[in-house]
Amino acid sequence: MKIHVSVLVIDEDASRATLLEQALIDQGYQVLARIDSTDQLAEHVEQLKPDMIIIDLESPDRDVLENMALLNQHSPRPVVMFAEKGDQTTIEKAIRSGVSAYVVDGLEAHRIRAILDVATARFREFQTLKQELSDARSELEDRKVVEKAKGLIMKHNNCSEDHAFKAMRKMAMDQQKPMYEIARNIISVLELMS
Amino acid sequence: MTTPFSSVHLPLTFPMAEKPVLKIGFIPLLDCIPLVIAKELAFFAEAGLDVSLSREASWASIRDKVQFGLLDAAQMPAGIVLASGMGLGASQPMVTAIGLGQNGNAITASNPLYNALNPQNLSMNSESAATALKSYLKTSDSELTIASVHTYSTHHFLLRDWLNHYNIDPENKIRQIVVPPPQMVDAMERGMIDLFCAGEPWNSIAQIHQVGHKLLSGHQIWENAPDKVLGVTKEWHNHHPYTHQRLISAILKACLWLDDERNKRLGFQLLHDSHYMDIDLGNINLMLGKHRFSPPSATFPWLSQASWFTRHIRNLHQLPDTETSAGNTYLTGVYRKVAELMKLNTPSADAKAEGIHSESWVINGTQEPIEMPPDMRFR
Repeated sequence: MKIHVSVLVIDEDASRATLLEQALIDQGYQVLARIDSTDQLAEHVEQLKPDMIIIDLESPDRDVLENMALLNQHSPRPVVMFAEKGDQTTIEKAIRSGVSAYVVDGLEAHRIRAILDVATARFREFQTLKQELSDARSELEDRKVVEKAKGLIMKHNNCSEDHAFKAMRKMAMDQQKPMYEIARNIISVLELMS
Repeated sequence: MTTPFSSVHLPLTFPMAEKPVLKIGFIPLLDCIPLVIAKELAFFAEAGLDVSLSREASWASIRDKVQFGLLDAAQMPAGIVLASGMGLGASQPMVTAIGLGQNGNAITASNPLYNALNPQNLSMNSESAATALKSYLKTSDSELTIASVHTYSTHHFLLRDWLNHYNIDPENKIRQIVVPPPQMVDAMERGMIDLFCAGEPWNSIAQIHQVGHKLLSGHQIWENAPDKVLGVTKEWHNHHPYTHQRLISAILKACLWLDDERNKRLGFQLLHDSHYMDIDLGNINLMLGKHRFSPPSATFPWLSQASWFTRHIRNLHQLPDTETSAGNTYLTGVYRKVAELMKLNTPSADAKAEGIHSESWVINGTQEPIEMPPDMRFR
């Protein structure tokens, strides 16, 4: 069944916007447009007449939407303004996840909540993905550093790979420091000597 | 004689802060400086507060975070705080007990508009600029697009004040829009806006990039006009009265420190070199905005100034022009309490005459007379 709520997604992060758009479509909402550049934002909103706008909480363009909401009663208004008491938690969760929303008058509370929940979940999922990606990147970096230090020890002490690795592991245990930190120290010392 | 800066302290007997670890929001504009100084010169720490300053992207984000407790307090245009007290633009009322300074605003015209309005590049006043704009509008076929940064910002009201005063209908042949400050210069360069009113450094940046030209400074509309305040929700204030007082004491101390041309220069240099602004301030003359932070004239929450803002807010929403007191939003009593504990002078009255003094003048103070700066309108 098609739910007749039209949503406009505004997000400069195109990959996050795509994630959110797909999730909303999967839930049966009509996504009017996905805007990643906020040029002529007011004109877009006037033309598209969305029931709800989902926008990154940290977007500077929110003050453009505020102006429309304050001066034109037909424009979507910030959801934080007229939430019923029961929705405060939903809204707070959304804000903490970096989601803000603007809704037109008359949109039912349960619809607002449902869309906010989808957006909140996607923003969080995206945040986790980004964190995992950056963790993976630094893990890769750490491994590269350890490899490089191992190579330098092998060259400097004329020893086997296994020997070099064991020497580093012993240092890490003795000094109670992570391997990559030991590796970094070794690199800076040995590079200075060569 | 004013109190020497070094002898200004919060008394040791002052009640403990209910919440010593605080997060305060600000927008990267030059007038965020009292908060930055209070942090960097450890006046917050001296008041027993561990404050982190959080740079925010929009006034909407500041409002949401303050309303939902993600920020304890924030720099805000006075209009946003006063509107919240009138049930507008926020879901719960906010209050303030200290102003964060005066001036710093200007109106910038795009190069084509500036050349049309002032072809000989003479020095303009609010009347000559308005006359030029009026005749331009009369002969021009197209609509002018004028931008400010927020519906309830001081800039928007100064702009409307100026147009109204010289009988220029802000709805006729003029389209008023909001553009976020970081996009202002770019929007002007691409011909999307003809005129904007914003806080520094944006007027200077437009001029340096040769995108626009300053038409009028904010003082030519209202000399030493109030602008930002420190806003908190009424609920936060009720739950943290002593934290609030300590916060105000630290900011007052920062404003006292900034009440000295040499310190002000140093302060702006610090702002320039720090990570607080995400803008390249390059060769901008940071003193050009004529910012004033002097307590008590620039920091006291004057009720007479609140009514200027509330009148504009009512006009915007076509609400009846009934004089309502801003006393529930502008907490003059809280300011007085803190100033008294710090042995600082405060004005004897909560309101003053506005817009009639072309020279410095004197008003009664609780300790001694206070020298007030000019507050003339339309120069």
